[in-house]
Amino acid sequence: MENISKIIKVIDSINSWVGKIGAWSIVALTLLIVFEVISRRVFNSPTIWTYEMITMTFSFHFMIVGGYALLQKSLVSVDVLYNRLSLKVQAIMDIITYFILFFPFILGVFFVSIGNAQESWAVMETSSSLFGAPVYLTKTVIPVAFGLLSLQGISEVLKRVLVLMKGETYNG
Amino acid sequence: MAEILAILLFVGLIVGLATGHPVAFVLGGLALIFGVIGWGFETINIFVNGILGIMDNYTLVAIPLFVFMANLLGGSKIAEGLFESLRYLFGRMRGGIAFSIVIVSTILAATTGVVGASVVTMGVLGMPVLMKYGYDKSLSTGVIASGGTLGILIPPSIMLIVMGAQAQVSVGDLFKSSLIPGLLLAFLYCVYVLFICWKNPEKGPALTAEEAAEMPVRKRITGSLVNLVPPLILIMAVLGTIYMGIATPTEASGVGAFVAFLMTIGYGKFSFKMLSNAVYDTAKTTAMVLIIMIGATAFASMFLGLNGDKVIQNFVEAFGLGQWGIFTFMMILVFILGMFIDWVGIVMIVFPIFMPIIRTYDFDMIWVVTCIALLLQTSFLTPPFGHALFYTKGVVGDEIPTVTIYRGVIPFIIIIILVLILAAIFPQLILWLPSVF
Amino acid sequence: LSEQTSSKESGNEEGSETFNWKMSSTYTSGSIQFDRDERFVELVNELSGGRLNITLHQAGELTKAGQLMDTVSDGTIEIGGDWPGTWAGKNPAFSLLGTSAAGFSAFDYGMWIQSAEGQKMYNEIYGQFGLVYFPYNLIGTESGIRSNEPIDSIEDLEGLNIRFVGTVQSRLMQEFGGNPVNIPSGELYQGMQRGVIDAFEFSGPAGDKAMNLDEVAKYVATPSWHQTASVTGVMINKEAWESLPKDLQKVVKVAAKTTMLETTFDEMYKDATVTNEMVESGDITVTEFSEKDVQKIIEVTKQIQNDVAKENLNFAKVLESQKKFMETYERYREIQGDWGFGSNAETLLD
Ligand code: NA
Ligand code: NA
Repeated sequence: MENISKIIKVIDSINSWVGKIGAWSIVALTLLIVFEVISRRVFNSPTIWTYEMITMTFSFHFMIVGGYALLQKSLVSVDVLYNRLSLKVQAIMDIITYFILFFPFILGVFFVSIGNAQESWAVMETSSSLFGAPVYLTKTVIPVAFGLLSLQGISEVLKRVLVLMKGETYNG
Repeated sequence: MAEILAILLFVGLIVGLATGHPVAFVLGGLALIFGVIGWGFETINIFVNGILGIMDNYTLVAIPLFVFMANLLGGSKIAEGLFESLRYLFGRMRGGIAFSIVIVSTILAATTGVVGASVVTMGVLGMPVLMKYGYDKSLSTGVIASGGTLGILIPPSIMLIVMGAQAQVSVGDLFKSSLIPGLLLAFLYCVYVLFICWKNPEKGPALTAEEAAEMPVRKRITGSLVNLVPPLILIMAVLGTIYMGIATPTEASGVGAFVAFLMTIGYGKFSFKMLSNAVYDTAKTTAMVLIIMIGATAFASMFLGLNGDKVIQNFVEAFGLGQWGIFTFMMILVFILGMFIDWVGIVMIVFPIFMPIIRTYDFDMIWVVTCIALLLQTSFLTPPFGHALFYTKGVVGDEIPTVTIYRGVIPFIIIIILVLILAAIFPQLILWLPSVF
Repeated sequence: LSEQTSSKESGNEEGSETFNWKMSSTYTSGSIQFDRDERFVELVNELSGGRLNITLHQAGELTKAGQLMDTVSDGTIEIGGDWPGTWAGKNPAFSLLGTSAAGFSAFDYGMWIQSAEGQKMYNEIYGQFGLVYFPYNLIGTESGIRSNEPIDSIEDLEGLNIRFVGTVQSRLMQEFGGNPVNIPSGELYQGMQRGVIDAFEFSGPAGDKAMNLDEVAKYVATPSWHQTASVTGVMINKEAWESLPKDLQKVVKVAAKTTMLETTFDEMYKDATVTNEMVESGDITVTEFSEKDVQKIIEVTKQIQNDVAKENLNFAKVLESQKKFMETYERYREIQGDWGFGSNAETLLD
């Protein structure tokens, strides 16, 4: 049981740190857009790189915090029936749905996206614009984000296992 | 085979959502199971590509930025000041805050065409105030969800641009034709809010007599002016940059976030703690919205990949429906599909099947497309799957159960259908504006 | 598992197995580009007598436009309809396979593909990604640069934010002091309406019209030197292609050629009628670059093409092949002059 708690702690703190640091990319995103608007409208000299840098920052922002959002229970669910179940039944149900729905999808995407990222790195794939944004970086974000999500999934399942063992909710 | 898989996919969605698993992974998980059975393991490539498509989608950049703006305004209490002074301004009138939320939603709708952005923004800004003053939870969440959904009907709207290209009608005309129905919806939402609060005072408590007595009317007006200035500056910054052509609607969201940030400093509300809280909350909410989108995209691509649209096509061909029969059938289908998938999927299924048939009758295509756009408002609100429902739930968290939100949106769904029937009886509601401008 | 892609149902006799293929497009329903995909699929399904069944999906259903090549390359789906220039980020040579700046006409592309080395070049470049390629449409000269302030000369391009695609084309625009902006076709309408971009090019008159783009710009600058002609077609996963019996392969080839003949001429004719409607309605004003400007554009294009060729071997190879074709064709073209190309149709005009 102690080992389980230890694993949970490690995973949770990884996603907590990654999420909190990654979250600050929203500031970069805001500044990038303001820079683009000012350089284009005030100085009439748009840059060729902001447009794609903006989508790259955006995609990094919401992908990298996925595991953190799962940890923080921010990923919404429908609680119509769920709320009426006992803590133990909830835990059993969660473990089942994590194995039937969560892991196949997350791990499937994780492994396939690794392959895609590797291929992209192999040709140093860029976008077809003049700037030639590094597509291989964008494609690398997917396995990283889904890796973090699958880690968090393990932690969530272990939390339910502890509920079944101890009969109470896991609290840090 | 295709029929069975398509139907099982929908049944699976209802069962999956009921288990209380995160919506995003119910959608993704089902897409994977059905994709692998009906297609093969290649199907996962489709999901990865779908994720890349979302990551590359410039329009969606507005979501984190509007959410960031809302969190800055919320965290610095600037938003609270706005709604509070509006509350004093409305005085003894019941439902004042809910009413002003519909108004602010309508203004926000004119700046963005991304529902995720507007629902979440209104939720973050409005929900704390509604709860603080004891508004009914169903009514509050209903107002937030349906008000936020107006963004995709009132121009600018990416939905109308996509529909215009798919149906081969003028987008300029669609922007004009959907304005009156959109404003009519907003107006009826207001009427409903005021009516229900007038009938049930506990749903939208007005200023108490003591509160009213404490604050003389003159002070209420001056106080409102002070509190209304920052949001007005913000609206000017966002709307102004869009309509003067300085920024795209997407860029305007960044300008909005930046101006909100400057205002927290200008009003002396800035602290590192406030900023970091806004940053973390933004990340969590943005992930919530976009990861649902990842699941929904996988789900829709599997429905289409397993030829779910052919099932509908065969169904349509099997019935020899007349002009109004086919129109009614199409609208019912849009409504039912709206319970399960989002507008992009619906447009992709419905338009290629129905538009060639509809065009053979003497319908005004602008009217037909606007009716669909109007009805698609329900797709965000109808259970079990509705983006606006989930976004609202995501913002309010565990404090308010999903059922309360489901109950809250029902009156608004009825209003949408009512307006649709009105538009069918009086086509001029849709066709007048494009005909005069 | 009868729905499984490319499942082989054992038939009654040899060579009668059924192939069920999925096809995705880089375009959406309602565009003339998607109409081509539809016609091609219709032909294949009919001509094969139901033995090769292609189900067509528009962009966004199975995959967004930008991810189509990956999806066909790895065999997730068997076939995809595209504009080759979309993939210039993977290899700049795709730019030359998709469009020509101040170069090929639609007829030149047609001849290069059908009678010279063109088809070989497509299969060579696409082949690097495990694909075979069949061009099935030649796009004539595009509309031109659309704007709300008249563009009469190269100088007028200076400082404009303009949507411009293609490797050579983007560099050309920069050379003339304009700012090539990469704005997706879905955002063009709104971007132009709100003045985010000052000008854009998208497709031919009929293609622009289908996307409602004539609604947001009053002027069009001609001739359309940035894309004198373009090509679209289908890419097919190599393994899937090789799994087809010879007669079905022939069906695909014939369907592609028939599609090319029909859609190329239908669209060119439509370009003409749409242009008449636009000009007669008084909503669109056509402006022209001077002969001097056109000469300058030709010079700069040459320079840029050679620069890119130095950077990329594949680009150099395709460019060399196109040059070789033009050298062969040049003398006849010179001798016949404008007469040979229908420019002087005075006897048919009042
Ligand atoms: Na809008
Ligand atoms: Na719904």
